[in-house]
Amino acid sequence: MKSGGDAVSPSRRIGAGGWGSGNSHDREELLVLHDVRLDFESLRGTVYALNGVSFSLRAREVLSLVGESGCGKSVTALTIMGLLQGPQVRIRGGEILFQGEDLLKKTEHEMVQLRGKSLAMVFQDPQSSLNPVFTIEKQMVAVVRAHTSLSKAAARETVEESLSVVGLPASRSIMTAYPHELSGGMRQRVCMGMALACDAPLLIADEPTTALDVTIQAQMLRLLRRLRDEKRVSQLLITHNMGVAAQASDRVAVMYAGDIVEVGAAEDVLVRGRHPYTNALRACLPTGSTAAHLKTIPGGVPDLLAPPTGCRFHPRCHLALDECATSKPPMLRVGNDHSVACHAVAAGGQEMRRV
Amino acid sequence: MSRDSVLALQDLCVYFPLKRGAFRRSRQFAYAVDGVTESVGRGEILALVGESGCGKTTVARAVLGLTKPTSGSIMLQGVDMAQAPHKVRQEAGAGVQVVFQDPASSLSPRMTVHDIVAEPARTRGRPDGESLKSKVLELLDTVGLDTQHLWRRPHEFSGGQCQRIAIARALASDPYLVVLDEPTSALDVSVQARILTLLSALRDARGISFLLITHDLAVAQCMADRVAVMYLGRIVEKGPTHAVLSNPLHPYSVALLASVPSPDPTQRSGAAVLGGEVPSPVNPPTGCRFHPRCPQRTDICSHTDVRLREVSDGRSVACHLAPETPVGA
Amino acid sequence: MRLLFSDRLACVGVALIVVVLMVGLLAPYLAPYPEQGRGQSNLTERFEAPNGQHLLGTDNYGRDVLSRIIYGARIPLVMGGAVLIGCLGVGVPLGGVAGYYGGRVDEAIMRVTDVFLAFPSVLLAIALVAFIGPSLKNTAIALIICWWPWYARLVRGITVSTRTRQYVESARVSGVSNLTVVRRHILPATIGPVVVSASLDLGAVIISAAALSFIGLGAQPPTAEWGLMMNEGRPYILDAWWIATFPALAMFVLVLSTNLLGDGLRDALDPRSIR
Repeated sequence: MKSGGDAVSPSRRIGAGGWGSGNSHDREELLVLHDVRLDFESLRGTVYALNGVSFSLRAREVLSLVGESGCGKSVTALTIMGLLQGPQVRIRGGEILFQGEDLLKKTEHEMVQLRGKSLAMVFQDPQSSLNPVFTIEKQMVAVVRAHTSLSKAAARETVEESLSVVGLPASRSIMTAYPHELSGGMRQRVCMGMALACDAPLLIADEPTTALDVTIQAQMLRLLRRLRDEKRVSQLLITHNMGVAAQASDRVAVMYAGDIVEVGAAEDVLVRGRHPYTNALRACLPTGSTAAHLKTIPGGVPDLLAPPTGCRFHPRCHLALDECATSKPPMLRVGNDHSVACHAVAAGGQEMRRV
Repeated sequence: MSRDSVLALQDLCVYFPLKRGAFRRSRQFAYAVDGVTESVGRGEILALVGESGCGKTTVARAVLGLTKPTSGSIMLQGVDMAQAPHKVRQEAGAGVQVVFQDPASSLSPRMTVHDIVAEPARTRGRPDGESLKSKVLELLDTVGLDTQHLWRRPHEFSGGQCQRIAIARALASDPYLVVLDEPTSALDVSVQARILTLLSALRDARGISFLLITHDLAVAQCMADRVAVMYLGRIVEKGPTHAVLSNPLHPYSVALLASVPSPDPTQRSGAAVLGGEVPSPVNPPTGCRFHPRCPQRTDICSHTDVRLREVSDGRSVACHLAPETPVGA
Repeated sequence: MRLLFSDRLACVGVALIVVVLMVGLLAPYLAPYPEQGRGQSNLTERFEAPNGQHLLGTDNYGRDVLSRIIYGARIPLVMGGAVLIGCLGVGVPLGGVAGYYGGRVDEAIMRVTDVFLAFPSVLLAIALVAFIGPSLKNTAIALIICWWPWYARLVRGITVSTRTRQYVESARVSGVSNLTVVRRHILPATIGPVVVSASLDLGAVIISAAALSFIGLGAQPPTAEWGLMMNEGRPYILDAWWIATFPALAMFVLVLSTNLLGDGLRDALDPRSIR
């Protein structure tokens, strides 16, 4: 039996090695998406799912990708993970730079190496991402050993430590349990522990709290914040819940129909948002004491088989100009760390009145 | 309280026996709902809030007649649903309708919108095709659905549209009470806003009462007149929405409110997060059921059961530590 | 339906089944020697190998094998259909009642099916026919008794899962009567799986019925039945191979086509392929 310290340190080193990659300052860009375009063939035709998605995630930062269902936020996550495959998926351009390397150019074999070790992911439904026939210990040790050269005993130590980090201190009884014996919140913690055990520098969490109760969600948000502060894990958080985005993230990117429409510091986007969609979305949130003042967005989410030309939001936008229908608005810097893709904002017809 | 209540629950209990195999009699029960007393007035919206497993959905199912109460009574418009003659019960029950959470599974995949909405109307009397169709069209119009969609099937609609169809079906039997079981939980916020606006307008226009089951306090806040917070099968606090949500008295209500993430990043909650998880309803904790997770528990909480007591006009709380008269209620 | 006909193999299956049905119906007009098809012996032309006059040869009574196969085409599909309809008639209501009401009724019905399913079905059928006497009608009755529990179980399973669907609960809340709920919401959900299961079972039923005839417990001579014909040809298989071989081939083609149809139906009715 090796001691716990021995067992943990090698994996730490691997993690740390992944981090530095030659750059001395701490806030280098860990993940950069540049103009990623992706369609897939469906029975009904070509779905133009991602229409040139660009954003960057810095080290030790939590970026939330918010938007309504079907806006492409999950597709973005799966594309980064290289999990969207098959003949019907076509990546039409762009690059995804992770630690300076383009993930879109990697072979499947290289991606397998990266997944789990450098890119960890947790899903909305923790039940289906754990194998029901193995104990927690078995599956976690297997994952750790697949990515490190640790012995079985050392891997178990690592697993135990990461479980206690995610707030499952009675790790012994948790480790011998099968997934179905745990509650939803505990399973989500196990998934995060699994992501943590390999010291992945980037955690992609796809609606990690959507299936959980609010008090458990609050525990989970606190855990995510601790992972960033103490374990220096950068996070890409996919969520439809503006509250989760506001509470958990440093920066927020708003997606609409396969486009990033606004990105910036959480306060800038969620409080002083400039894009009409961001503000409309905020106005839809029930905050007051009557339903009477609830704002709604006219029309529905566009069909991505035949997305609107120009700015994809223009048919529903109350600020739409003529050019919105013809040309896609470029990202415009409107603040220190705040960009908006909107012709109306660019034209100065800014939406200064708060909705 | 019971000025003109369309629904009155008196000490409602629903226990589910645990399955023990074919030959053994079960002696263990899950205490899903354990002594709930509540009423809904005409045109009133009562929200039952709480986390999963608190029994709010079981209350709703008991009201709908889908689950048999173990004890206690359910009165619908003054009719005792356990004792009244069958005909009278049927009459009273017909005025209670439901809108479920999942729009995809609450509509039959094989039926057209017309048939779905017409079904309740068909069960009473046999209206002829034309008058039925005009009634369906009128209902679709009421819920804001394009009447061209009459002959389509549910899978051709978005979640929000399906929920409108479900609302139209609920309205088809001219209900006095509609149970809304997480009506917007599966919807996007922009769609949710529209459905909430629609429901609110329906209440104002038709005087329908709603029993709103939700885990989303923001939804409860903007819809409900009164709120009852449930924890492990019991109501721990109830009262007018504004009072309860702006000045919660029960430690669980306080924690629940503090757990809701604010959409304003400048308001990061530093409040203590509630630890632990909801215990199993099979072996509920002794004393106050919330005591193992309660940040303010004292000795009395762990061994003495606590009942709801009125602390001010229309407000009740089940906590040993609650003040006799609330501050600034 | 469109999906079914886009499946080539299923089309072949359907076409072959239709051909067999038509041949059976039009047997008196198609058979070269109708009276021999019905069983009249022709002792002057025994054991003739396939030739211009008797395309598939003649049997030990001198009867034209082709004519007998054509007449025999009437039996298997009618038999299979009757057995399956009988199974559905017994299994669907019992399964539906068990699934919808649950509790003790469910328990009782399911234990009865357990008892039936615990016996090897062909053995059970042999015992039953031996008891009630060999005839085509009794073969059908025996096969129904062996087969209905499968349908009861299938329907029960679907009913249990459909009953708790929210649209069924909504209907119940709307005051729709139990009978109407079952008719309008639950039975339609069972149709797809039941039809697929029945079409896949059709071949097995046909073979079982023929097997019972083969061992002398089904159709009785001089009826033209493929299983019986195989049995009659069995002693001469080395000298007059055509007597047993051609009915067997006919049986093979028919069962194959029912399986093709069943597979096609399964794919077409699979909920995942809808939309």
